[in-house]
Amino acid sequence: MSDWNTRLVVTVGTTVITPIDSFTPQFAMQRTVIHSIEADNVGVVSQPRTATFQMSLKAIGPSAATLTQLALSRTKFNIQLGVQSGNDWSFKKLLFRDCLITQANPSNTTPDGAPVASFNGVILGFGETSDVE
Amino acid sequence: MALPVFVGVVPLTKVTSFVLTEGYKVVPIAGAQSSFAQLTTPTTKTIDIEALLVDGERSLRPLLEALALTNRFLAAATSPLTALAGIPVVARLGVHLDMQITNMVFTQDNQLRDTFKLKLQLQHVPRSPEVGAFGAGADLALGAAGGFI
Repeated sequence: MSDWNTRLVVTVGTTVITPIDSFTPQFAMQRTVIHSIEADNVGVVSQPRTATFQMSLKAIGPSAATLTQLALSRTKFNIQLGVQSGNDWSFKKLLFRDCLITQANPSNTTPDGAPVASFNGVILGFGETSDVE
Repeated sequence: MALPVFVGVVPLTKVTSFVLTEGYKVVPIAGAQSSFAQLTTPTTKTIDIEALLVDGERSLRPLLEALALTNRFLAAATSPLTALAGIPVVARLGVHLDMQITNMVFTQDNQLRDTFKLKLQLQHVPRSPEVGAFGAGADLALGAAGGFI
């Protein structure tokens, strides 16, 4: 029985993104089922696979500013989700290469609590065996 | 396993559309308010097939090209074989002998991975009356039974 006692860390390039609330990567492998005139479900056609991410962090410290800068300058960067401590996680690391931000909300401010920054983006480099360990 | 549509020896298992066009050519006889028409000749029978060639089926392309006589070398090699009965097309929608491929379009696009889209047009080219009669008989038999297959 595993007790989740692990801390994960998100790094952009070599910089640790902190304080981060959530990081959601997603792989989409779209496939369309083929129906022929003679029978249903005779095959499948694969469409291009894509990967995206969503990231939400507190706009405290330099991380939000760094990411906003990367978004505005259209710079490609690498994101890695790795283990900081513990050994409960299913993976050793998830590496996403050549990411680009498609939407940046750099500082949504409310009267209570710290402002929140959220970023959505696309991932161009993923799926190699060394990316998912 | 689904029944394929046969174009000659090539089995197409992922046919998405099969269109058969045939009829009789009618020419109105000229004249003021003429109510006469002449039934001249059967119109050319054509078949339009749309199919997908997925993964390994993509290797059927050279075979189809051989059937379609897409170059002079293939014409010399293949045409003796199709001299008797052309390309037979066997499908739920009939048995068609004496067909000839007139147009063939292979499409590879960025949305369908490892897949060719195939558009095939065939036209009826009558050869001998015997083959024509046999084809018509086979077609009639299949057509009558086709409602129950």
